[in-house]
Amino acid sequence: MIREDPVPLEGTVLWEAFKKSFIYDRGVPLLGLGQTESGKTEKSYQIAKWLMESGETWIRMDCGKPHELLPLLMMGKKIKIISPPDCQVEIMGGGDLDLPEIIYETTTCPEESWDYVERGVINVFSFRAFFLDGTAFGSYVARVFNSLMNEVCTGDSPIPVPCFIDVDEFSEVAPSYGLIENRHQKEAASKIARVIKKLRGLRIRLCGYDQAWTDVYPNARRAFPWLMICRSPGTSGKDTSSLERFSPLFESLRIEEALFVWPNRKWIGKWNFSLFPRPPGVSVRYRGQCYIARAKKRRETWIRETTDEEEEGDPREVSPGIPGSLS
Amino acid sequence: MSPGRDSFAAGLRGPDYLNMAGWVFLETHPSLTLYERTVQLGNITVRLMDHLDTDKDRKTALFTEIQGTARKLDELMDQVENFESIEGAFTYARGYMKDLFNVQYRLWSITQDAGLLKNTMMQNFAVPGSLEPSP
Repeated sequence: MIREDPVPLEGTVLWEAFKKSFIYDRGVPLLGLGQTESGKTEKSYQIAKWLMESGETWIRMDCGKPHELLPLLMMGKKIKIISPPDCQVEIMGGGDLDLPEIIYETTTCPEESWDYVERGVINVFSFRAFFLDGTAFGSYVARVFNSLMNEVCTGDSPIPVPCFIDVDEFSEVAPSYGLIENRHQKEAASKIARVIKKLRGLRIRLCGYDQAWTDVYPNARRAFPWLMICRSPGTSGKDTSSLERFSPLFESLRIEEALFVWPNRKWIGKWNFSLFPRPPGVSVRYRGQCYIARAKKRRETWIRETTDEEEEGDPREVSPGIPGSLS
Repeated sequence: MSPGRDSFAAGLRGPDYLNMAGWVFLETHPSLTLYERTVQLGNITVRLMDHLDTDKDRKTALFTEIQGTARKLDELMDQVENFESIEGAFTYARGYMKDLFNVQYRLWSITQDAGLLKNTMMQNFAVPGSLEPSP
């Protein structure tokens, strides 16, 4: 009868179909869904590894989780960490380990982030950890994505395509209405949703990972034809109604298991992923902070160059902020 | 209409193995030839029959039949352009389509008999750690 042990996927019709329809179909976005501790981030590393091996440039937008960067150190590729102005990522320890070369780049404005992207290395956009405020982060990322689209559309892009952008905690970038705190955040989410829809044609793939379908901004989530389902994915709503009858199965998935749902909402079998190792004795520290400067009239203003007055007024402000206007 | 046709269509409607196989066959590979799609369908079937410890001779015979039908279909597609009218092409095709429906009906019967609904959906696959070089 059916074997209990996982059968190798490699060499099967299913794997060949997956490669043709997803991996080698450049620009096709994927949204991974699953509750906390369902292994989304672990699986995102594996998917990213496949895509990178297929020839795509990898840009990972990290969400600042502790130790999130560590598995990347074990992939044998050079790592380039790109952070906001005056913010630094420090990887400490591991002196006796054979770790790959790590390049640290600090941008002067969000638009500049893409200039540092390089083919063949793991490009990490390390932004989220430096923002205390979701609105400021949303605005920053909206500028990053806007500049991407502008540069690619005008043919001035330094970004080597095909490429994919790997975004963990995607609702931080494009939150749903229920998670949006103010109109600035909504504008940013709306901008990002518009950009996402155009990226595919530019052979730029977005792989987003989040806890629930309904946590993601509606216009953005509908741009994802492929789904990766981990445990308790929160797939409710008319867009995913065909999957609701599988909810009991989804809730029983183990941490290493996931389902790949094709654009026609069909899926075959449970896919078992391996955990990526972490280098022992290595830790990551984020130094610096970006912020929304609050004027004394108690209204929010966009991130801008810090004045001496603001530096004195807010003890949290340890970086000079992000130059330029976001409006 | 072939007697197998209704059964096959009925099989496609359920959330069962044939739904899966039919999906691979009909939707996943629009770029592939009918021959390639049919062979893939056959591969899935044989794989499932492996799980069921199906008789080897029966499995081989079925797979050969699928391949044969697939080749006929592929030849047919090559020749369609040579026909002067679409009616002529359909007449020519009818015999082969009957063969195909018969094969599909047999696949459907086997999988239905085996009650593969849950087992197939729940099959565990171990994902490869690396992507093999692109063709």
